[in-house]
Amino acid sequence: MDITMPEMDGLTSMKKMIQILPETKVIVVTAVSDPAVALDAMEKGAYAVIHKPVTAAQMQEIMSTLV
Amino acid sequence: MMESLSFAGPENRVFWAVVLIALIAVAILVGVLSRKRFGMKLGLAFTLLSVTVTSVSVFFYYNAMYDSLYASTTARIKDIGRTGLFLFDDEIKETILRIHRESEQKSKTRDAAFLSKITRGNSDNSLSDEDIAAILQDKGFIRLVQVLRKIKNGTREHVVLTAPIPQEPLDPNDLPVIRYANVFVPIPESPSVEHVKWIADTDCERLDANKNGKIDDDEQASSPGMIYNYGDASAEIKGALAGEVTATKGYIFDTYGVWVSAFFPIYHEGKVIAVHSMDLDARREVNLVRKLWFQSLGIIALSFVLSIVFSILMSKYLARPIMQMSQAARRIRAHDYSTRITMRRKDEFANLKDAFNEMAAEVGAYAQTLEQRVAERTSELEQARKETGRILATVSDALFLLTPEGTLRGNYSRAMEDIFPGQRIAGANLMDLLRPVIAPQTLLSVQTYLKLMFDSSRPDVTLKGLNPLARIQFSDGSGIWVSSNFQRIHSDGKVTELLGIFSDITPQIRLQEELGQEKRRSEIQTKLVLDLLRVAPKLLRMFLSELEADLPEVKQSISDQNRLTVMRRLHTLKGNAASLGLDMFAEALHVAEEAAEKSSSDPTPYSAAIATVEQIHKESSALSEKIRDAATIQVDENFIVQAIRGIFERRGHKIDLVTTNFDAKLIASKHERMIRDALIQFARNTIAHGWESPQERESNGKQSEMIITLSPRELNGHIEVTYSDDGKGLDVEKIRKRGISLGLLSETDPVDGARAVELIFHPGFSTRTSSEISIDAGRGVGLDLVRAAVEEAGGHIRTASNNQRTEFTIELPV
Repeated sequence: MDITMPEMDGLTSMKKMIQILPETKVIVVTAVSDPAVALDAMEKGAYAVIHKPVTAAQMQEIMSTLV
Repeated sequence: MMESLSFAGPENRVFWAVVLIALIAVAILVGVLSRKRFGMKLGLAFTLLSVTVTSVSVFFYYNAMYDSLYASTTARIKDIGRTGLFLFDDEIKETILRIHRESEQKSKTRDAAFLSKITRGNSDNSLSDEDIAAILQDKGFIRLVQVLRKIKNGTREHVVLTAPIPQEPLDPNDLPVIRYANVFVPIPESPSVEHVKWIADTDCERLDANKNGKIDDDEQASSPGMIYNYGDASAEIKGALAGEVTATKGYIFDTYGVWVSAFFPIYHEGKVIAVHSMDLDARREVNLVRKLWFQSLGIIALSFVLSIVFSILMSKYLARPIMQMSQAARRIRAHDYSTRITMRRKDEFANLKDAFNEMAAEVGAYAQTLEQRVAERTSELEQARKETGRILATVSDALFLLTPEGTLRGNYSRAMEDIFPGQRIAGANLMDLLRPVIAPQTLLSVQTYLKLMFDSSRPDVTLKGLNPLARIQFSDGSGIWVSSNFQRIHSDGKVTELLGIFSDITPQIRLQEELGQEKRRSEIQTKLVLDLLRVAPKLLRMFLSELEADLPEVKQSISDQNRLTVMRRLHTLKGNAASLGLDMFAEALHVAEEAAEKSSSDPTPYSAAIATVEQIHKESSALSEKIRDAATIQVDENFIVQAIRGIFERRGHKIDLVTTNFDAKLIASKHERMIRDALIQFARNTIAHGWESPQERESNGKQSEMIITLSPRELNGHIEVTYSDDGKGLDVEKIRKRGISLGLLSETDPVDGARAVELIFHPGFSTRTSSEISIDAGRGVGLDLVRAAVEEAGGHIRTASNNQRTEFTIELPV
């Protein structure tokens, strides 16, 4: 899930997604490095926020907490 | 004459019951009040028991005594009466009947009104005084009275039975036991025998017995025909009329004494014609009973006192072990575990004592262990607390614990006070501490971040890098930089606290800034050096001194008057700098020129720009000095001396190079290369002609290493550079042969030292064959060219040689 997207911004779509499927764990991947944005996303229900560019190790670390 | 009184004396048995109940009530009350003292309770029970037993026994004893005394009194009066009845003969009985009959005839009307006036214990005469007086004179009546008086006086100590017995005052020391005796009959008007009619009485005359000159109440006569209300004893009288001997129940008390009355039937011809009655003075008996009563009371009181004393002693004795034990227990409670009970007993208390002492020992041992462990643990904790305190006081990071409510715990490191000076830290809200020092948006982010940190459903890894306070500058003007880190503290799978770490990273940040500045400065310097190296030193020096001369002028504050002059000066300097390729100077001067143009509105940029120019000038001057020094050093050491040393070293020859007086500054730079080439040629010559092996030198009395001396000097307006060695000198014979072979000499030409020197400076002259040609010598293109160059420069070369040394001197004009 990206934050900057056409039509609907990432956070709004994420909220909708969680409303429809509450069990969904959303990992936000963004190029916005502002920690306030990341915290905002977390507060709105994101499971984790990863900054671009994403490394495999980073992704693996986050995923391992979901298994 | 008898009156019964209601007297609540000891004879009243209800009184006893009341006393007993009162005692029990008092005992219970005292018992309730003393319920906290075992000894008192025990004593009370004892007292109660003893008093009860004593009282009950005294009660029964007294009752028995009372009853028996009364019974004996009654029996006595009855016996006296029965005996006295024998004194009533038929004549007297006829007299009784006669007086009864005559008094009935002369009697007043005894109607209901008359009788009702006579209340119980009172009397009224039914005959007139004349009739009474007549009867008192009647002989039969007198005889009857004498009989009655005999009965009465028969009960005195000193019996007087002489007749006639007068009614006289009685001897108070010898009172008759029977005080009154009389005869009366029932009257038909009173069938209930309440009222009776008197026939005769021992006291039938009025008599002033106490001789007080008047007839007192008890001195009134009981006249014949007197109607008396005897309602108090009508039952007994009825009994007597029925033929029985009767007596009153119990003692009768009245104003005059204590009495027991008895009633006897007087029979005549088989019929009861009258009742004989007598009153016994029972004071002696009652006194006995009274005495008994007071004795009984005394016994009870004594038993009460004794039982109290005894019970106190008893309770003390019984309660002492209990007291001892309770005291010992208190001491144990006060942690005196050495407490032991000692008592000389062999009863159950002894067992209890042993059990208690064993228990005390065990408790003592246990408590000691426990106390020791507590003390150890306490000192460990204290130690840990102190250590924690020391750590918190000395650690340079600000450590604190944050509760889910956002407040800080009481334990925090002292550095916290440096980061939040003047703030109360313990119990403070972190947000309140941060509010004055960080921006509101950051504060909101911190709030969100801490909320996420306390949410235990969020794995640590997902919260990485979200801390908005990871590295932040306080906005309160202090300008300090703070880095922070929050660690979760878990308990039962929940995040109960956060360990916060704040570090003042201002010094690191400052250092970084300084390093950045230093880096920029060194970049400038490098650039400057490159600039400076491109410029000929002389031109650079010229430019720098020109700038130095102009600086005071351009440094002064700019006014409208001097602006144009200054700007022109700066422009010229800029042009010079640009033409020399000194870009740094050109740029700085350009900035200064522009700032000067605008200095009327704001002079600050101009002074800053000039400061930069000055700075660059300063550094350039220092650098140009350094560059020149570096160049000089090269001339000195590396250029000429090293070249000479290198020539020998390449061949493995060890030399002793003496350059003590070698002042490179004496050599003009335009001659440097020429002199170097010359000196190299001289050195080659030494190797080619003057070289000796260390063995050769030692056999010639020289030091093993060849001495080479280089010494330039200024002398009489010219420069002399001297090269000398202490070798074996020029090989004249060898030079002569070479000169002949080159066609420079004939076989016969004599060759001396001076001539030999001439030869070696000849173009193409070399004493070695081509096979011997080395890098350094033997080419023949050497000394001749050197001489040519020196002479071209206006100088010349002198040579001196013998078999001890060879010396070349280059002489140049200054």
